[in-house]
Amino acid sequence: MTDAGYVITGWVLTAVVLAGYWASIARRTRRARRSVPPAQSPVRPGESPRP
Amino acid sequence: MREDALLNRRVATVLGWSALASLAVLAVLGLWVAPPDAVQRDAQRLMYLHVPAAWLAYLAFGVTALGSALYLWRRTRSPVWDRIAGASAEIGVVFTALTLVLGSLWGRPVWGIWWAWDARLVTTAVLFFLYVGYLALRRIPGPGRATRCAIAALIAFVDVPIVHFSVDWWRTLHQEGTVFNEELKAQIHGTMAFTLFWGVLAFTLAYVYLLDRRYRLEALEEGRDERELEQAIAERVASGDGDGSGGAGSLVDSGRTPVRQP
Repeated sequence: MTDAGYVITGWVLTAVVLAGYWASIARRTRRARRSVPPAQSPVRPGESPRP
Repeated sequence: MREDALLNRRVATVLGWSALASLAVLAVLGLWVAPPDAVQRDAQRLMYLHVPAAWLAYLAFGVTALGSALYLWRRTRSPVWDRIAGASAEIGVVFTALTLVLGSLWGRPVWGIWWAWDARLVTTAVLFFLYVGYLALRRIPGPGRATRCAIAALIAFVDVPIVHFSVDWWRTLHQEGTVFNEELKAQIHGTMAFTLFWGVLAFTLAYVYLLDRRYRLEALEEGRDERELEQAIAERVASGDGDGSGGAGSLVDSGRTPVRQP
């Protein structure tokens, strides 16, 4: 692999890891919110962990 | 301090978009604007991710240690600090893993190897596994869970300065700190230095945003665990399986016992 190949792999991997982690938090938040009655939820309905 | 979120919703949204925009600018700076290194050529462009990721790991584990210490101190004891510690540790583990993988990708073209049993690499790998263990410990329910985890986090943090100073304490394949000399005078090209500091800023913004999101999740999960425990106790009592004292004792404790507010 050329130097550019390693660099592109690193940058793409970083983007995938950060996006994947953000998506994982969003998914777990949705799942946790579904199990919380609306009156008790500390996070307002409709709020999503979107930047 | 609010218990369900660290940041106002609007502030968090602005922060999230700022982090995303900063990372996009970092990609332009790191891949096109910054000049290639005289020796390492384009492979050095991985520095703009590797160094900020390592900084973020230090920051995240530092916040975990601080949150743990404040939880252990009776005057400041609050579940807020325990949640911050847990949320920050998870982010730190993600960035430590990223640091290791990016370092490996950088090492292959520059050193000719993916991995070496080098002091900096090994201590960083140890740091990763220490905090994976900490996260596993957080999942074990029971009374005193938060105290146990706070102590573990403080012990694990001892490895952070060892990682940082490993290149000075031992002869390593990993280079020593080259951005600053002992007089804190930058030793790299101005555009490279700017790109590197921009990377640190972008990653820090992303960290604060993710910390707030992860903290909200922690608060939601705590509420769910407490509710499930109460429901299980109520079901046990309703089923006529004793007066609740024996039944409740046999139930799995969520481990998120109410903590006295300061």
